[in-house]
Amino acid sequence: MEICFNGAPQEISSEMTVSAFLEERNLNPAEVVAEVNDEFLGLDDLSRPLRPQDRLNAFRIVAGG
Amino acid sequence: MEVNPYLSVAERELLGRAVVGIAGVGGLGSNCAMHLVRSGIRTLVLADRDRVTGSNLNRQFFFANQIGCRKIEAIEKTLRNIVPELELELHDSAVTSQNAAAWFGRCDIVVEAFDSVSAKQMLIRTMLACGKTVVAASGLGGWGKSNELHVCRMAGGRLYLVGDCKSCAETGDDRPFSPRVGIAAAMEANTVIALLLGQKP
Repeated sequence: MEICFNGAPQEISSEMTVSAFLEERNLNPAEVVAEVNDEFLGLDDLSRPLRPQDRLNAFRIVAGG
Repeated sequence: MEVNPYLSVAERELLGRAVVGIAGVGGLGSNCAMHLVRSGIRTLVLADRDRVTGSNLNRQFFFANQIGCRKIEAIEKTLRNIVPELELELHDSAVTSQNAAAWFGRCDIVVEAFDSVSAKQMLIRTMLACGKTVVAASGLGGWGKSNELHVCRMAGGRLYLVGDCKSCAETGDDRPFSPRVGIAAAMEANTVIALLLGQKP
């Protein structure tokens, strides 16, 4: 199925959770801010399964200030 | 004396009645506060638990004669040197998930200006959960690559993320230097002002 990740189409082979998708891209789910279809995901929401055409955005929060 | 004579009457009124929170007044927060005050913000809620050290002076809006002072006291003096009649609510201890909602509850927008990942995450999640709009920063280390610093709109416009969001593993340099930290701080302030004026951030 196809989803949109950070603005680009991505084909994913089977149903997977947001967490699994992020881990596959070397993004630690605990260290990102993420949203699906404009809805901000709390830490408990990361186990949500991705659905066809979902728009997932996730950005790493890194130290520094 | 009016510090920003370029504002229209309507803009001055909008910015003059806004309340902006800044969590952390280090490299991001001290510079962001300066930009906000110069732009027309007159009420700020500021929180920081640290003292000014010599190593802060490479990027933070403090001065050598403030080394050893509490940052919250130092930033108050510095900002009042720009606009003496500011309304400042100052919190001289750590922001936590327990006190953040109370301290920043009256703010229209809250700026995340911490250093550590855990504090950044805590503030973003706590503020979004209580319905606040948050302007946060992630990824501003090293030199150059100015065009890689951008503003991401998230959470239906309740979270704006400034920076390149790249880890040290990706960039090879996460040291905080004045130009790039300053750009990110200015982008945070620019985003806050645009949102308050109803313009595209």
